[in-house]
Amino acid sequence: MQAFIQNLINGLALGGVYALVALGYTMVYGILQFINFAHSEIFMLGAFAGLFVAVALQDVGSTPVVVTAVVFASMAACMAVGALVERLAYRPLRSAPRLNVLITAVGVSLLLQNAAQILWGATPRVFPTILETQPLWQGTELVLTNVQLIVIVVSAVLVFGLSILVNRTKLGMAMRAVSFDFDVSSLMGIPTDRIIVFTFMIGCSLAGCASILYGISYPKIEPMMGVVIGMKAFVAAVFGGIGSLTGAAVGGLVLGLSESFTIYYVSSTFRDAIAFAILILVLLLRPSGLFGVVRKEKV
Amino acid sequence: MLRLEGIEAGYGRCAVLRGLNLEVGKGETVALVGANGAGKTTVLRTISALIRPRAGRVLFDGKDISHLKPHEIVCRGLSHVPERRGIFANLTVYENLVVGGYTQRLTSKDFEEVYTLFPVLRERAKQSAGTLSGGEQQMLAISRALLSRPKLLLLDEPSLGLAPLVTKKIFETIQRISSQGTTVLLVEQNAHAALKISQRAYVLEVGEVRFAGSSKELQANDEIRRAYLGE
Repeated sequence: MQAFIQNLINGLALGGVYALVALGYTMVYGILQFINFAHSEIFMLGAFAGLFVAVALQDVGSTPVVVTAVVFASMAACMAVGALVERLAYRPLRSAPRLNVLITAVGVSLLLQNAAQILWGATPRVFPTILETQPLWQGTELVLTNVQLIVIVVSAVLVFGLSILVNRTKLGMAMRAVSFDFDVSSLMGIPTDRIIVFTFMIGCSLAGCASILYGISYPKIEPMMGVVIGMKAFVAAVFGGIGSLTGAAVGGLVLGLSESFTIYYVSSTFRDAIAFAILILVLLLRPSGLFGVVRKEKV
Repeated sequence: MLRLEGIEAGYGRCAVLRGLNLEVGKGETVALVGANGAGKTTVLRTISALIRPRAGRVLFDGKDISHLKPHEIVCRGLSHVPERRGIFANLTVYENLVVGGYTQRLTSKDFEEVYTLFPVLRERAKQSAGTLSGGEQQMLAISRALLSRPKLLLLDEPSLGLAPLVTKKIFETIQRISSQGTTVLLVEQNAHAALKISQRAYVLEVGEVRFAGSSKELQANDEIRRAYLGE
């Protein structure tokens, strides 16, 4: 029983990170109908930004202020890169066929990966300990650490905050309106380009925060680190129904949990295979994902 | 209030408007009628900057607005109810209204006003807008446009696909909106109804103004009666 709960906690912590990254995929897809493959590299850049700030602040010690500073620096860096990528790579293709944008996204992804390798080398770096891992609660076979608790709580708060933003505020309504129809939205006085950039920045800031949560739990930073996480978050988003925020959050959690349970009960070799097996199964039964809706327009 | 000077516009290589001149005075209701493909919708899309004219100018309140972006034009006091209504089916009725007033600070009084105009919208406020009937969607589209507090309202085929009784109700409302001081430019295939509620009208034929004059004159014109009023 304790082992079960332990895996539940591990899975939630991992799933929270996946969920945050998956939200970025789903938000961009919701508004522009393409998969932003560069999102995994935004995650990687966020981790590097956090790393540099953490190293700079190393003498200060591990206080909550440092942790907050690192998180905000990473979020800010990701927002800036996200806005830049949208402005330079995606906006010029606004009226181009979707496939062109998709290929561009793959290109941007490779560009960022290789740029990071040139700048910082391919050797993994250790993420400084900005948060000492301490057990909060310990059973015979069960540990809940402060890091796990923080990861779970922060992800939950961000997911909740995002859903308030999108569903309850005027800005969120404008985002959903733009995702439905650019032209008509602009006729309402909505600056569509600005809303799109804003959506990118929100999604990227979540990836930034996720990268720090990840860095605290798994302190290994390298230019290719986004690939696997990004792939899994993408799977989570598709699994939940791409375009749906609830779907991305639930998808992330399911993926994290399934991975953690697979490692314990089956074998760690199969952890990634299981993730994709789940995806294939769900897509066979529900092609639009768990919470995805097939959009119909009334004429 | 609105003046189009020598507008040439089109899509890709295909020219739709060939040197169109048109004017709407303050407080007027002006109808723009014509057959399918005459370029009526293109006129409205050009005014709202959804497409850029290749030549000519759009003047609103004496200022050239042809270089502005669509959302900037809304801030100037021009609101466009698009063809086929353009309801956001993924939003509720209430959210559609909020988005309609995106450029304004709306108070509950603003919502009361549109709910008085169309009481059915109050009943359906929390419902997804995609579940509304065609008539209700048109009411929502008009209300949404009014919430941006326009000086000039552009309406693209408000009667499209609606039952005669609903059409009648919509046209009565348009008259009411106009009597409260909003200038209206109305695009319609239903020339009968459009000429009845407008003071002046333009008849468009393949991208050019074929007739222009007071709506009464046009209603009496034999050629127009035969071609557009089915008599």
